[in-house]
Amino acid sequence: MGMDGNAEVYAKYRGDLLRYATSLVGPDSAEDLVSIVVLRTISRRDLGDLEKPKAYLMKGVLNEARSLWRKPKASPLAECYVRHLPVEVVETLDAVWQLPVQQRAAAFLFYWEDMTVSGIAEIMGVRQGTVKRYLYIARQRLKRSLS
Amino acid sequence: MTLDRTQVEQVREAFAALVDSTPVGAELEQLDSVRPSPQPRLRGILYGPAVALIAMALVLLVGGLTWLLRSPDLADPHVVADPIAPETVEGEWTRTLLEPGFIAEDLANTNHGLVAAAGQDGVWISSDGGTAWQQTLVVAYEPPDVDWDGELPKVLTDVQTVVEFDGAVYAIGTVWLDPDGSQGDQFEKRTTVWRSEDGEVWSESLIDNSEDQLQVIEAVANDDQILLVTRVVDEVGEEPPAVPTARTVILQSTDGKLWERLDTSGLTNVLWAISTFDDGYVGLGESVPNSSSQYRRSVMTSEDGSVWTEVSPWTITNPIDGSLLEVNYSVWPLVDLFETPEGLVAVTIAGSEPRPMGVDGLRPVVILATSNDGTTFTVADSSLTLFEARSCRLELEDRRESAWPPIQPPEGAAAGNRIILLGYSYPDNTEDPLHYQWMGSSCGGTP
Repeated sequence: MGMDGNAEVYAKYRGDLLRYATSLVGPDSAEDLVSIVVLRTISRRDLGDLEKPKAYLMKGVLNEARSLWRKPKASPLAECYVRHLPVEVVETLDAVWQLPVQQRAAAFLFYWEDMTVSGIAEIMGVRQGTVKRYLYIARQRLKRSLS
Repeated sequence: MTLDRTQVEQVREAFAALVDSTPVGAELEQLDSVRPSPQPRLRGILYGPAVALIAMALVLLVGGLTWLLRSPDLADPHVVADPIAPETVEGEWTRTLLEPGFIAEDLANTNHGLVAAAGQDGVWISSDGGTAWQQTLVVAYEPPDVDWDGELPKVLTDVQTVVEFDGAVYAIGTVWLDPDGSQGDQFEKRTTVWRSEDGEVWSESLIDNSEDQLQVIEAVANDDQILLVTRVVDEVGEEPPAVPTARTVILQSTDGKLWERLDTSGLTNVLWAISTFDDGYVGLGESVPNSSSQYRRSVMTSEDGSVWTEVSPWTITNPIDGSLLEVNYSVWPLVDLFETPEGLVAVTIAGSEPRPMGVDGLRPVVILATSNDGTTFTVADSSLTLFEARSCRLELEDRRESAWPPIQPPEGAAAGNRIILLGYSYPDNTEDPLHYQWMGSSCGGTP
């Protein structure tokens, strides 16, 4: 498939990948994160040869986000950006941001991408039961923060 | 557990705010539909590997097979080509002999790399995931530039814990004044803090705690504060029995400079390990009994470090049959407690069954007990899955049968999705210890 194929696949999915990466590590690191994953992948194989390139790359994004893991800062967004958001959104965002990265990934895919548990399990590379556990704990924490 | 409709909308709006901040902006999807070729950034990504492969082939062809590609940055020992530790196979551990070695009292993953508090060997830093280390803080027996009120000629210094807070690294330890014993047991022990912006240049300041003889246990930090857990031995009894009584004193700092003693309540046991977890703190405590048979352990949690609640006796579940393993001092010497992306990890050491180590020729085994709720810990076993992993069990390769302790307990830290442990063992009673780094995936699975 070669370079053109790589570019085609990347162009097709980069929006999804960037949004997913942003939900995991914030906007400042998202682009670098996606670049690292794509670079690492195409150094081994063409993206076009992947059976499910989106799932494969999103799994890579999650793994890379986990490998970069540190205790999250108070907010993923710059103060100048947050200033224009309603208070309740900022509070919810803070609560979401404090979730461990895998729980946040599951919540993002479930609540924002409207994916099913089985779809999330495929993207995250874990069993459905694990996704349910991530979502359960995430909801528990969010409910506590939001109530 | 479900969120009500309003809460679901709140969560969606939060993710919407995040997605709106995605790099390249809201026009991203429009660009997707009209731009057939990669952006310049990606073009570099795509062609970069091809250029690198061609260059590598040229080097091999021209220079022969003995040539190695090497980053020029490696000439500087402070810089490594890849700041991320090498990949490990899921569930498997690698062991690296550290030369020179040091005894890690505490280990932390910071923005400047792994940082180890190494007692009288000061502070060591690794920027490659723990295989290559450099000492960046040397502590002296007699520090030359410190005015110890002019009365205290001998000083012995121990660095006992390390923590990152607000972009700086703090190494905290103890200065023992008059360690040569000329004043009997009346030497003075004071807590001292070294601060570094880069992990290499350190400045020192004493905490004014001369009223208490604090023994530094461990420091932890979140976005708001550093908590320094210490132990105070109130009384050393006359023999027999010479049993000290102890209590926990927690110091708090919100700026790394001023330290205040927290008024604490609910600390039913003396804290031996503490970790941040789930917006609060989890501590493992142990009573100080009148005899060894009365040792008692518990998990205590706190939201602020001040008010503590004992949530359970410290129990460890046998993964084979779900039964609770006996927890007592001889079987489970507690070593360390630290947070990972997936939960807490408690490091303990035991015989290989597990049974008391050092008896009946059992091999000592370092056990990683994990918890994702902060209260109940489960021993990871190679035959079962935990956190979607196949193994978190680490058997140190020391087969001596009788001597104790054949393995010194390792200190650990999470570095990304890997666990790094530093420990050492004695190959023979007469030899110096061998220092090791162990690295494994954090029970998390990395496809």
